Amino acid sequence: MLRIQLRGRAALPPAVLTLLLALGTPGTAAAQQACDPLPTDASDPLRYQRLGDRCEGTVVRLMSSTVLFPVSLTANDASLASPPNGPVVLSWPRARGSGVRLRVVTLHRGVNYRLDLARPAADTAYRWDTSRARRAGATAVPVGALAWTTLSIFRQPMPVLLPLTVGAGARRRDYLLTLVPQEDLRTLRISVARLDAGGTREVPLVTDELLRLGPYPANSPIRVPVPGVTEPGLYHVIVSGERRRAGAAGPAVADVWMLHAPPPAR
Amino acid sequence: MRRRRRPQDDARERTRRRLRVAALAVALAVSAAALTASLVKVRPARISALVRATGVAFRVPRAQVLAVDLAARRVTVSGASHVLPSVPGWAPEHAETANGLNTSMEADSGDALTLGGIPLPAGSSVRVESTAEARTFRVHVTCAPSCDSVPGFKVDARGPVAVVSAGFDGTADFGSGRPVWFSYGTKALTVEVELLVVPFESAEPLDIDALRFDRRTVYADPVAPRERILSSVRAGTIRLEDVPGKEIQLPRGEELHLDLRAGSLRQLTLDSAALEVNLLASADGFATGTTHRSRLPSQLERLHSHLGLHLVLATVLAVFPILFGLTRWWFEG
Repeated sequence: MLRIQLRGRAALPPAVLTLLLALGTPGTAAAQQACDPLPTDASDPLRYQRLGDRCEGTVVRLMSSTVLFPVSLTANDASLASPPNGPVVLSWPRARGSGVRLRVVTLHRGVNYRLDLARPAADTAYRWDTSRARRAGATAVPVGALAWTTLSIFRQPMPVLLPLTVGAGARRRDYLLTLVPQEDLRTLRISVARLDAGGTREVPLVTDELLRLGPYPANSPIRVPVPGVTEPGLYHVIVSGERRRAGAAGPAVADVWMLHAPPPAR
Repeated sequence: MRRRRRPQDDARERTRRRLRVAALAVALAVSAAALTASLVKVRPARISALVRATGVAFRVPRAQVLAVDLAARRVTVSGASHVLPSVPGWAPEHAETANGLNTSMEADSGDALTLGGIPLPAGSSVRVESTAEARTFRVHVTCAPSCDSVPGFKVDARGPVAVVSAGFDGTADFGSGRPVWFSYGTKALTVEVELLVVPFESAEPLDIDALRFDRRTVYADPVAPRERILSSVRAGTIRLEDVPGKEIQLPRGEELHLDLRAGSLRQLTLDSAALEVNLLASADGFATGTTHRSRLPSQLERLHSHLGLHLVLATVLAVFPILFGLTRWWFEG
């Protein structure tokens, strides 16, 4: 599971294992040769390590560097529960970035599993052999799945999420953004804006809309349907949370850029 | 009449002499070993330290995140190459100069900004120091060799925030919460924060391979401004883990020189006017004072702390044959 520690005032990362860092790193898929230095148990035969074209396995813990962070953006309900024998197909829309990175993490306490892989920009699907995930217990629990590429937004290389379809589940009407808070949150609001055709400004579509998905206890995934996404293009989704913690504290904000495009040709 | 020595007596005497020589040799060997152990330092020595200082500088051997989730009243970022706000009116900026962009954000009273984790590229040097203003700290990151491809970091803001930046000077409304993303410049980045709540404690350790407690002080001489590097130590305790119970107290202004092999900055605590560093490290060198007096423990100290009474007994047993041999030599000619 994705275990996010809450220690003291802030539960923050031991290392560079975070979406903030991973998603924030511009670069090509080919550059992603080495696996992230995740804390693993050396005696665990299923530990996170490079296996062919991917890094996969169990880790001691998975953490993030922000209070509220995204773990999944999918076009269907991402679940590997009871998969058919054989590989699971992960698919995503085609993007013009330099390459695509994929990540699957478990969202259940007690199962710390992660898959990372890089694919060329031309690819829009990956057949994933889930045998290791099954042995690690990842197929019996909810998972988060992210695919992203790097695009230039406001002259800055930015990670852009590509909504993933995991397995053969039916597509949802709206995208599902899954977030994990590291602290108890009182309220959650969402804002969505679309990047205009010229790429020079954001057009607000939804502003500070109150989400009624609570309660929002720490370390429990929150599945947020993303509203307002209709036309193809780049969207900026911002989810802000108000902390329940007593005393003065700043806001907890997660923001992602995502691409809305027609599904890839099969 | 002299008694004639028998061959058996000669053999017995030779055996006795050999035994005495052997005992003396063993005793000398033990003494030499003890002397050597008292001179040879434990390297690397394991040390833990709790040091209160006005500034600390360290280097990270691998890419990490200076993990802060810090509630601030004011955040100033200097040297960013890009600033990406997400609020109407404040347009994204891009630095065209090597000095980068300067951006200051100040929350209204009662509200706060949240400074997220600051990514530190491998080999980068970091300096955290207090400033003349209360509850205000400066974090200066210097990349080695450059900050290219270092991911950005963000400041989350809520409500009205006074902003001064290259393309904006006014109040921006961040609504229920919006991020402002900052990217590293080419070489260095400085973040200054005024804490909303003290003390602030970092929650996650950082691996480091160099550490200094000093701060640069510039004397404002109009003719020839002078710069001096002084110790930033206010007080501290260094514990030598190889010698249980041995502690070294650091008085205010004491110079501390550490040659780290590896270390972990377990916690960094910021309060009103200073910071506190909790360190666990293995060091090839550890010295204090202007004379750089080595404070590394000797192997003898380490042995003594671990063996205790056994070592004393062993020493007594080693000394006894020496005394015995000397006595015999003196009286038997």
